[in-house]
Amino acid sequence: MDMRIRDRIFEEEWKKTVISTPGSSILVVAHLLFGIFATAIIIIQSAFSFNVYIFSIWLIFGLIILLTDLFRGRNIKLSSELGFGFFFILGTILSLLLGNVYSMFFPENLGRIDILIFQISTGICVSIRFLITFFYEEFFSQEQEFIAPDSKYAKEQIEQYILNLVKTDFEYSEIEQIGLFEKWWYTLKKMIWPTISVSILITLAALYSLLIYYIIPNDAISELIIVPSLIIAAILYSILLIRLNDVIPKMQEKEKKILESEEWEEDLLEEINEEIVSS
Amino acid sequence: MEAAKHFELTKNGKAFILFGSLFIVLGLAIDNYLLVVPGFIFWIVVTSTFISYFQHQNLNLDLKLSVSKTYMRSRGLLAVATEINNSSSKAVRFKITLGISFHFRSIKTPETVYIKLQPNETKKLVWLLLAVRRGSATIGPAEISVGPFQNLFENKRILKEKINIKVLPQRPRVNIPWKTKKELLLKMVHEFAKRVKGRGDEFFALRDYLPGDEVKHIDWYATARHDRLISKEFEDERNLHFLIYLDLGGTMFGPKFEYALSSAVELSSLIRGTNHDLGVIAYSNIVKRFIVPQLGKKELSLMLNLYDLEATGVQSNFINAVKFTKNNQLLHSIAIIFSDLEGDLRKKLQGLHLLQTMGSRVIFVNFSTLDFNILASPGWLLSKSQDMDYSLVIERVFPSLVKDEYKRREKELRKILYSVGGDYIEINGYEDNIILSLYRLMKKYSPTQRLVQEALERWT
Repeated sequence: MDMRIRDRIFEEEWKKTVISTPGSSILVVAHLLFGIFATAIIIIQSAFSFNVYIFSIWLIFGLIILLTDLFRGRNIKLSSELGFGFFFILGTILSLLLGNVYSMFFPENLGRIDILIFQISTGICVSIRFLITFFYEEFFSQEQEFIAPDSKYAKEQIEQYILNLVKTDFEYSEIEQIGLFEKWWYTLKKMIWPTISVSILITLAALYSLLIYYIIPNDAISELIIVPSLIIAAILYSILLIRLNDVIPKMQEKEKKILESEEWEEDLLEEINEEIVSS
Repeated sequence: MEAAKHFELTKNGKAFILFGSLFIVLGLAIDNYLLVVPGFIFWIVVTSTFISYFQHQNLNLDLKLSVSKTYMRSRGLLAVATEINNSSSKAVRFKITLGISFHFRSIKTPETVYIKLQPNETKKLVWLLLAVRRGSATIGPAEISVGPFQNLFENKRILKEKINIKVLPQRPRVNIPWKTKKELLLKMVHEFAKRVKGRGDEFFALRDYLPGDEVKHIDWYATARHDRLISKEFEDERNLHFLIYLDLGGTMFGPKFEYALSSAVELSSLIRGTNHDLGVIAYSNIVKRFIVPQLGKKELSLMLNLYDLEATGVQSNFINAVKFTKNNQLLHSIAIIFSDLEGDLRKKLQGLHLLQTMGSRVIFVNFSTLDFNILASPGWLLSKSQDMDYSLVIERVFPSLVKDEYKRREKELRKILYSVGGDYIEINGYEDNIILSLYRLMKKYSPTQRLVQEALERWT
């Protein structure tokens, strides 16, 4: 006596296949590495601050991030990346709360330039990690699942079917997909203009702050002018992005109404068909 | 057909705008560039989606979806073609996803592919699909995603057309030769068809000539022998009227029901090309569907009406189905009941006597719970007990109490069937075939037994 025979036959004849895009494992490792780099740099910076609380907080957070990354493995998702960002924000807030002369933000043994280098390099690592997540979600994590014939019977069945399709509208030929590098290049090409526009913004901001420094040599007063004005500029840019969203035409509501009437018609047609068949 | 445009900033996109701004503002305020740098990256990503939206806003793609057939057998193959035309003056790269319902699996090609279209180019993509489940399946909608970062900003062209496809039950693996089927039918006609005199080709009996009889029917040899006019009588055409009672009750579920349904379809293949007819009454507590008896030539339309039946979860009531039959004057039929012995047995058997009074012959087909339940139970599947002895498995899954109860029920059913002159068939798992079981049953009927029965009928 056997279990469901037709199920067993199906498993014998068809094999479930999953395409793994070349380079996906490299991307997973890179994702993990950049996470480690970001936390490592920030842990080193907190070590230089000689503040035990801040150092232990970042050490614990770094460990949590590393462990969650390891357990998650290939399951890289944008939503799970929010947790990663959350730890960074929480760590920063806690460091600020515990901040004194020896903390990582106002240390005595690190110069301003050193702090900038540490922070910007961590920021770059985090950003690269985010970008990797994007690429992974876009090209690698797609469910590229299909079935392939395994037994002789199934193979012959497909061969015969394809032969029968020749010279019909459904003539079968393998679909030519674009290569991986073309996909990467396409996405990167789309980011050139935004990068230029944002970098122009950054340069303008830098020029503006240099100008203020030149006019008012006193650091404290000049920063009091620079920072609020940059914040206002940032808010203005985000308002611009939000306003852009409102410009996009909303087309979904109209289509729903049309669909409803179609369903009603289909039901009627089905009823008529059934009547004809049964009579 | 031009695909509908769909633009939407997703929740992720909105969160990115918010986080980007928050990071930059917060970072600048507390003089922390760790937050400022990712904030800028968020901005760049979101801005690039907006720019790609403005670039492809007016991109029109013509999409056409077609399928090679609209009804098919389960485990059959289907070809789906999508024709895409790029009428713009720019080359575009995009991702196309073909929406298919769970009844199908794609062969060799994934459902999502990335392709490139030159200006004014038309491409035809053909997917081969395998039907893995019966039911009413759909192909569509087809979605084209243009531009990067679709999870932040959906920039899509959607063809909302859905094509309905009827996937009929699977073709049985055991191909029963036509010769066997013919023999079975002949045997059934011989045993079950009601012998009525009338206008037909089959000889029935000789009798005295009566005024009004046709002259050509006079048997001259017999007339010469008896010295009076003797004429021949003919039998009416002997067609079988099959009537399948399909139980949709709560106890018929999962693999058991699927097999009952495919058995019904297989029975319909028995009458293919003949003048016998077959009707189906699917019932639970009331009659859920009635398919009027159709001649063997319309067998396919019968199957088309069967494909989307599903078992209901309520206790079935057989008497209602029989009353329905009586109201519709479906007399003198071969009533084949596809059911089991679970649940309230009285409700399942009430009505057999009524069927007998209507002149029907009853064949009760029991889809044995013992076998099908084992096949469906997780205990059987999980413990990998395929290698074990069958009797051991039955002992383990069904305690002796249950088995005794089952035997008692079977005995009761046999008793009732004996009183109505019915027959009993048991289907034990997928190894058993309804037609072969019927064949075995018909072999049991011997001509001598028939003669005795006829004599008894005359006596009473």
